[in-house]
Amino acid sequence: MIAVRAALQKEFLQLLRDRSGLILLFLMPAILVIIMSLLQDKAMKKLNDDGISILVIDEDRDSLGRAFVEQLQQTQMFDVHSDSLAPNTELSAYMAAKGYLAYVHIPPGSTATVRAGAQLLMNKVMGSFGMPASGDSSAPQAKIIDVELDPTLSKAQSMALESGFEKILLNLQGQIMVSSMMKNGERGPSLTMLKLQTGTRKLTIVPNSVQHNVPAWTIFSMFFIIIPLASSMVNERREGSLFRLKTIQHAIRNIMLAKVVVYMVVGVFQMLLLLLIGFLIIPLFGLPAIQTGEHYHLIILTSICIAFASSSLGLLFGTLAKTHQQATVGGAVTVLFLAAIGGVWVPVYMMPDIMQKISLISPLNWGLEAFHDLFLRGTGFSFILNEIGLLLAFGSLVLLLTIKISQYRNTL
Amino acid sequence: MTLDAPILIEVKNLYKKYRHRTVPAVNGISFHIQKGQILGLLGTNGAGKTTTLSMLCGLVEPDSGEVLYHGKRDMVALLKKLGTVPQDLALYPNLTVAENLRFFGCLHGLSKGDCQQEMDHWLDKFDMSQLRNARIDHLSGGQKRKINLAAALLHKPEFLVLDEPTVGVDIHSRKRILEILQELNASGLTILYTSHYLEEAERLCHSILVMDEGSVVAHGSPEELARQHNVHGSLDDTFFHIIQK
Repeated sequence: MIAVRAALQKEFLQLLRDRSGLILLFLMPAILVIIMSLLQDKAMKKLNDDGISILVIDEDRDSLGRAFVEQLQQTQMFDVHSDSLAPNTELSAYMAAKGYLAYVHIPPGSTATVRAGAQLLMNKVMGSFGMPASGDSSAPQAKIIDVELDPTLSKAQSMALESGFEKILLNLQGQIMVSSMMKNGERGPSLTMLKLQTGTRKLTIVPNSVQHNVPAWTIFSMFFIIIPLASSMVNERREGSLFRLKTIQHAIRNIMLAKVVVYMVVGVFQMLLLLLIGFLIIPLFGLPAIQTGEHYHLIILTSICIAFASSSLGLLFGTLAKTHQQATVGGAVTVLFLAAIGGVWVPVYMMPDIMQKISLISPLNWGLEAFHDLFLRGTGFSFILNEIGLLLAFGSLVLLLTIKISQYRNTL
Repeated sequence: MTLDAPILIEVKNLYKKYRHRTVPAVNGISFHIQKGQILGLLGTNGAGKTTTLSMLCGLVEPDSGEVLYHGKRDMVALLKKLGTVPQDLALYPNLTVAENLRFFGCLHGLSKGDCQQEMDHWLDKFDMSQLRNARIDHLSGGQKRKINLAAALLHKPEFLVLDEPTVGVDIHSRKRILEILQELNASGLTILYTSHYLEEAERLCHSILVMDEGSVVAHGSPEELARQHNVHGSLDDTFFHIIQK
């Protein structure tokens, strides 16, 4: 215990006296959070804060149209308008003049089309049980909804919109079909009672530049501890301390443990500092303050898991790197790469499908997803279990690999 | 040291070949160190001294052969009683003298009180008490070397391994370090010592072991070596005679 305490004390003292390291760990992310939040504010505002102006023409005037408009409004991401268009209105010019970014047309009979689909499905199911079918058995051909997007929207924005519409529509279609089938059986709720059911993971806070950038750059800076950590290990090797430490029983184990613990504490402090900046400083620049939800203990737990993963990675780099250059350049490039694919620079939902899949391999993405669950969705422990489990597993595996590499090097 | 002193360290057929090298770094060497002896390990660069020291200290696994401590293959027991003074300054430059010594003392398992006592003792011995709160990177080369040595002595080792402990040290500090080593040896400490300063080795060591290309090429007291090789002069002359052969 004396040895562990001594190692912890030594690591803390060294860190506190390393001014450039402290600047890298605290000042750089603080500046980055503010700058990136300001830079991305306008772009994300276009999608979020103001609400995307949408023109909805509901000629269906039945369950589907009403529920669709209702759900668009509930997401708080859209500013829904239902203008009456003159017969000869040139749509593109009208949209441009009014600033609408999307036009949604729900043609007459959309609900009926969905109901017909439900009937068809029901007939097929009943037929398979040898029961007589009722109603029209021909497949519906009509479109349920037309969407036209403003050409000035970026591909990512268009994809985000399309995907949003698609989700709402699929949800509604499913509910109308089930409701319709149940109605045939003369029980269940009527269509007019349809309500949006998105489960407990629905967004309770609209994602904006601050909500994305504060957690994203906090995680980025927490992973940047790889550089001072790996450098401190290279120093120990270069200055000969490692030689002496290796001849003291359990010294290496104690030092590694101390480094992980100290940098985990640093990680938690980084998170607290950057959240404080999100609360107090960012609003001074005219941006909204960050909202973190109420699960503060889970935020700390998530930070500890992220810091554990990053310090383990730092130990690996410190073990592999032979020079300062290798430790700093290698560490920085790795973190930048993992941040890029992990959704730190560009939110994952704005990425193309292939990149969204690739983002899943980045530990920064796991951390970010956990923070989004806590901050935006207000979810509890069970929802972040997957992410923190991945972070802990990653940290443990990397730590094990580091120990094996160290042992292997002694036998070379 | 007496001639019948028990053997503290016995090295038997130690062999090590690094994977990227074609020739072995240490080629089956054997020797022993008696309790209370100062053994000088000499050789040109690449002779195998550092690899031998590394295997003795448990840093490098030998391919074959063994190191016995008190007649037993017990590296754990050896490490508990081992003090090392590496060639590089094994200290943290941004910590103070006291912080460095306290750290290494506590890693050896000394209590806070014992650590403080030992630290006071060695700082006093090296005339450095007034520098206890000075950062290592603010000390002179000689002062750093003294602290490097003190850090290896805090836990009262039985066996001290020094790898060129006086490199870059001024004459006064070097003299003081050698005096301290002689005092420590007089109190029973066994020392294995490597240096490129042959006059230091001649003055300090009871026995000299000369290595070349991974093998032991000569072993004996400085006088014995001179006699064996029929050299009339200093250890320098004897060493070059042996190496040239």
